[in-house]
Amino acid sequence: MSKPIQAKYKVLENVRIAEGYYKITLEAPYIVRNYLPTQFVNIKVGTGYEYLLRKPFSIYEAMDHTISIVYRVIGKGTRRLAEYQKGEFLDIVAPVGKGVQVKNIKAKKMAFIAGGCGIASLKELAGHVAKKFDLFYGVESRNQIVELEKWRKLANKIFVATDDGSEGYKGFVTDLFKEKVLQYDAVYCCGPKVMMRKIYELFPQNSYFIFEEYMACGIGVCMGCVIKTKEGYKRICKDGPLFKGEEIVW
Amino acid sequence: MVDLEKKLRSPFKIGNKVYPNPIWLASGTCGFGEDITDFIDLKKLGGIVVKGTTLKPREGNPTPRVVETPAGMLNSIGIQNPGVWGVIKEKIPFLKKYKVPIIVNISGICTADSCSAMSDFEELAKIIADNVEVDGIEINVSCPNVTGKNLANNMLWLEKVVAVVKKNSKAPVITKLSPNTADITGMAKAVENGGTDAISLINALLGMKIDIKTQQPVLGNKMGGLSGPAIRPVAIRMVYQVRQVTKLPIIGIGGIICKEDIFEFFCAGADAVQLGTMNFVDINQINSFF
Ligand SMILES: Cc1cc2nc3c(=O)[nH]c(=O)nc-3n(C[C@H](O)[C@H](O)[C@H](O)COP(=O)(O)OP(=O)(O)OC[C@H]3O[C@@H](n4cnc5c(N)ncnc54)[C@H](O)[C@@H]3O)c2cc1C
Ligand SMILES: Cc1cc2nc3c(=O)[nH]c(=O)nc-3n(C[C@H](O)[C@H](O)[C@H](O)COP(=O)(O)O)c2cc1C
Ligand code: FES
Repeated sequence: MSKPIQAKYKVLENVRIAEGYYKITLEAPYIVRNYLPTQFVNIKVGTGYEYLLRKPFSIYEAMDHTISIVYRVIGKGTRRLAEYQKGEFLDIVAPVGKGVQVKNIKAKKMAFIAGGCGIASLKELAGHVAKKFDLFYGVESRNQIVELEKWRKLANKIFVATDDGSEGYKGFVTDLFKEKVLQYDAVYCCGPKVMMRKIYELFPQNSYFIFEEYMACGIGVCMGCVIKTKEGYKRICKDGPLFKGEEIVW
Repeated sequence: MVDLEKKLRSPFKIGNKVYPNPIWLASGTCGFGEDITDFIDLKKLGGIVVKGTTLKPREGNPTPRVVETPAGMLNSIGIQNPGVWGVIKEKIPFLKKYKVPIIVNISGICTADSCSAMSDFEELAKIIADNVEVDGIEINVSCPNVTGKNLANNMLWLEKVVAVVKKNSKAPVITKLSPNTADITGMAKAVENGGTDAISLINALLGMKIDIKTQQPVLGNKMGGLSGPAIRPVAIRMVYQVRQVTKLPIIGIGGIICKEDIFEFFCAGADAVQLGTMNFVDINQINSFF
């Protein structure tokens, strides 16, 4: 695993891709050369004290010398992030997190399960296991669906659930998955905690979850971002963000 | 006029003990050093104050434990640490490799139901003195996240606790004061009477953030310690006041983000500083201070 560094990276593009969702692309050769899937970046938004702490975002895609991040605008930091223009620089600490060695993934038929913004944290890993998984994707409404055409190239099948029924199944993505549990040998999931717990209950054995928590340091020193595991509190930023479901005290 | 640039690069003394420079990292914001080595060359630091250490291992408070606030942040970690034996066996040996002065921040535990703080401090000081060579003991009388009663505000208790730690320590004793008091100079005089070798201040200010959507406090522990630039004026004022009543070395802490902030502490009367929340915000910049 390579060491994280703090550096400035140039914004190449920052565009709206769905309702409330943006995608920012950065020139970041160091990160591309050194990251592992499920690792993330810690972005300092703005320069003053208004957005004091760095904000964590998953690496959505990494190509040649660029990375992109897909983010949902939910508060003042992400609102400010959406204002960044091509040519501006962002101060980032990356890559952080433990990361996954893809060669250790032996499963042949996986389910990737995303709730809302969780799609952004699963995409990069999915790229490494193309055609070995089906995607289950739950969002509030069809206009919030992010880059489904890209997922069509990666996933065998795609099952979409929306709260309002505007696309696919009307209801929870967990209900869609429930019907098909027996078809899979592993599960990778990112979404709201209640959804992840439900998935764990349906698929306790070989299931992996990406957790989010408020972070301060993002590098493992402050014990701010912990999750309760059977071995005590662990740091999401250093020991995660991906954890095996069985480890967690749900 | 003091040559501030020179002071930044000069050794700093507590009693006979010399620290290579006056720039230390603050407890709780650099762990036990391991994860900071990616960013800072530990050898360059004047000192590293490790995470609050308690007699027994502590798992810490429920989440969320941290949240951003205007020009600052709140934390309610609850001193998650492996206990003094874990620190001695697993953590200190790593730091020893770097030849950086090691200061152990010790905490006695006092909850609403039971208070073993005094005997905790005594035993912590003894165990450390008998088992490991360190460059300082910082008494944390002021953690806002574990203390049920506000002992940091009780002069008699403070004086006693400092005396007990001093009696049982080989390394210099630094007492870290809490800003959650109406009489900071009174507290400073009390710890001086107790025999402290130096005073560090301030710890975090007790605060709260409420989420108006849920109408509930955001932190799992409801209250937490406010740190970052938001508290700097309070810290500067307190260092200034304490400087008027003591000649002991003072280590200023609170909201330092750049070199000018360190200079402001020097001007207020501090002999050294500790960097806290800055480690989370702009850790690279610390390298430019040496
Ligand atoms: C490892 C990791 C990876 C992430 N990856 C992505 C990603 O790829 N795309 C993306 O859009 N988001 C991602 N997030 C979440 C993202 O960090 C937050 O949405 C962002 O920090 C919000 O900043 P803000 O200033 O806009 O929100 P704030 O103004 O700070 O908060 C707005 C609202 O969101 C809530 N909130 C903010 N941060 C968190 C959090 N960490 N956990 C729970 N609730 C929170 C607050 O309670 C508040 O109600 C990730 C988080 C982690 C920990
Ligand atoms: C996440 C976090 C954890 C902390 N843990 C401790 C601790 O264990 N012991 C202690 O004495 N102070 C602790 N502090 C307080 C800091 O050492 C420092 O006094 C305070 O944060 C003010 O300085 P700053 O504004 O530079 O951060 C902690 C602060 C933070 C932000
Ligand atoms: S955010 Fe500090 S340990 Fe994870």
